[in-house]
Amino acid sequence: MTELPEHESHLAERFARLAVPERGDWRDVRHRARRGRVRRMALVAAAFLAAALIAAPALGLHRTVVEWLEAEPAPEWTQLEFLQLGVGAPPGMDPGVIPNSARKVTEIAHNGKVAVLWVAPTERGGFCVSWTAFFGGGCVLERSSLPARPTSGGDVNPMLLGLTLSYNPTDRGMVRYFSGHVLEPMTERLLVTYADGEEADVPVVWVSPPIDAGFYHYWIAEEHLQPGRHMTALTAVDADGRVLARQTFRLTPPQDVQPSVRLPDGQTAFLPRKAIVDQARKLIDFRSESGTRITLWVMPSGDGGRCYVYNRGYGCPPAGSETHPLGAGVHGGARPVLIGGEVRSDVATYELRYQDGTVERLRPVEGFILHEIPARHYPRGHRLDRVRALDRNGEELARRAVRADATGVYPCEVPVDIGHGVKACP
Amino acid sequence: VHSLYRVDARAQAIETLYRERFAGYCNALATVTGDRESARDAVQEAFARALRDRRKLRREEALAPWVWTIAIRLANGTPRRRRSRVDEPGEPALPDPERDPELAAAVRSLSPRRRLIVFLRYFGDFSYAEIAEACEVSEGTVAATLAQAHDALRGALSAERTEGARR
Repeated sequence: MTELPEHESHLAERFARLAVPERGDWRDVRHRARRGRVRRMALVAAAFLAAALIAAPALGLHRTVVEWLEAEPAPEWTQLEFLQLGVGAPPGMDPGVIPNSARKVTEIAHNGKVAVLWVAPTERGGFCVSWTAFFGGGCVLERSSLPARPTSGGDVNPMLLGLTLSYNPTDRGMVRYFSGHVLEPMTERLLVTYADGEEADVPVVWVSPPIDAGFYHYWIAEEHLQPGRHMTALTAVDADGRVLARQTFRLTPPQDVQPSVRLPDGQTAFLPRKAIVDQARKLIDFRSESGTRITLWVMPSGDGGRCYVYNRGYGCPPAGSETHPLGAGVHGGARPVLIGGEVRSDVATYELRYQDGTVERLRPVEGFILHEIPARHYPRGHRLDRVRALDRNGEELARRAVRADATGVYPCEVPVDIGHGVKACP
Repeated sequence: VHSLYRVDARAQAIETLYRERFAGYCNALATVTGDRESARDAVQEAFARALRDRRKLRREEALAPWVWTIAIRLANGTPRRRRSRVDEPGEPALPDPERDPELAAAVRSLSPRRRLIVFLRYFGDFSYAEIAEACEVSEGTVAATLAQAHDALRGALSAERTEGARR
């Protein structure tokens, strides 16, 4: 409030009594600002189209807008998947997703597969996304809670790009495809840059409030999957070409590429170069119910730590790094379903409790566990729902709930349609 | 809910202005439009246009009057090139005169130009400099106009009170 000279204050008070308290809506302002730009862009595009239809491919719009309320509501199965995001989440991590508001934002086809992007709003103004067929998903819990990232290297606010990458480590980390979301409403174009100087527009689907964000997915063309022509940056720019966000990429130096190594029993694995493979020891070895050989190898690493590798994972933590009592994870999606990994050295018993009350107690071997979850525990009602770590006196060191209703973790005889032709085990 | 990722200071300044003075803009503009709903919509749209075209603003300190100018043009439905900002302010008046008939009558005794300056000052919380910018006059003129308006209002209000006491 501006300070008023004394002689004005009486009048000011009298006017103040007549003033009506108004509450603004800044999100609406932002929405209007963007809508205006889109409208202008559409007019320009229409003018171009009218003038020269033949030029349309070169003038294609980079951004389409989806009106949220007009988007197709998600089927029950998709709603259920969103609902499960909050089940068993640690305190403060439940995204508060509103599953029955989920809608289909876009679908894309590649190599004969169709991927659908489902989006659901959250109670705190964020959103959760789920791509079918190709990719996972994630949540922006609350926009204002996102940490600001300082500019470093060639990067500018990379968090704004909400980027998920796919690359093959043996290809020196060359990006093959990527997807993500943009939150900055001033984003006018999203550009992918290649090492040879070429640029290409990444199509963005912008979803109106309450989502108020843009979504994208992009496959790198074959000719850009080679060193020297590879992707080097993704950049969001505004209407004036100013950089709003940028993430840069560098290829892994050839000497740092994790090589494919041959273990003493002839199996191959990808391990960091610091793993001293010729000193590998077989620590755990058994056959699964279906006859698959399950093996965990440990070996020293060049920095004084140790490396390990087993059928579904590997690690090379530096010497002295801290391990969680419940460091192991469930590896599902196919037979056999395993629980394995490194646990803290004082864990004497790793306890698995199932929904049907069954309890299994595992003894870590030199700080590792690797165990098959039996097929009788695949059906709902019998699945793993809690793990505990106990010390040698039976005192609990830590416990964690495990999502028993996650889709796609436990194999089944007949996968069911979870929408748009995508099948998974419930 | 809003993004923390304001990538330029001007967008941040517009948001701050909006959050601090939205009500003031609405109350001041309602004296021009005559109804609060259209004033609210014009202010909302004015901030959206300011956000979109923020790089057209030449001086940071002119932000508040610039947004006001956009708002009043929208309220008047006036293309920019055909009218200047407060040359034709219409007949600004208190939107709810029945809530303070004395003040409403006193305000009506002022010229439309003075009324608008009073409303910008007391409803919009505009500084003298901001009013000067919005009305394209000098700060001295604003000070003088407000002083005259203030005297006139005080005179009118005390005359009303005297009249009322006689009755």
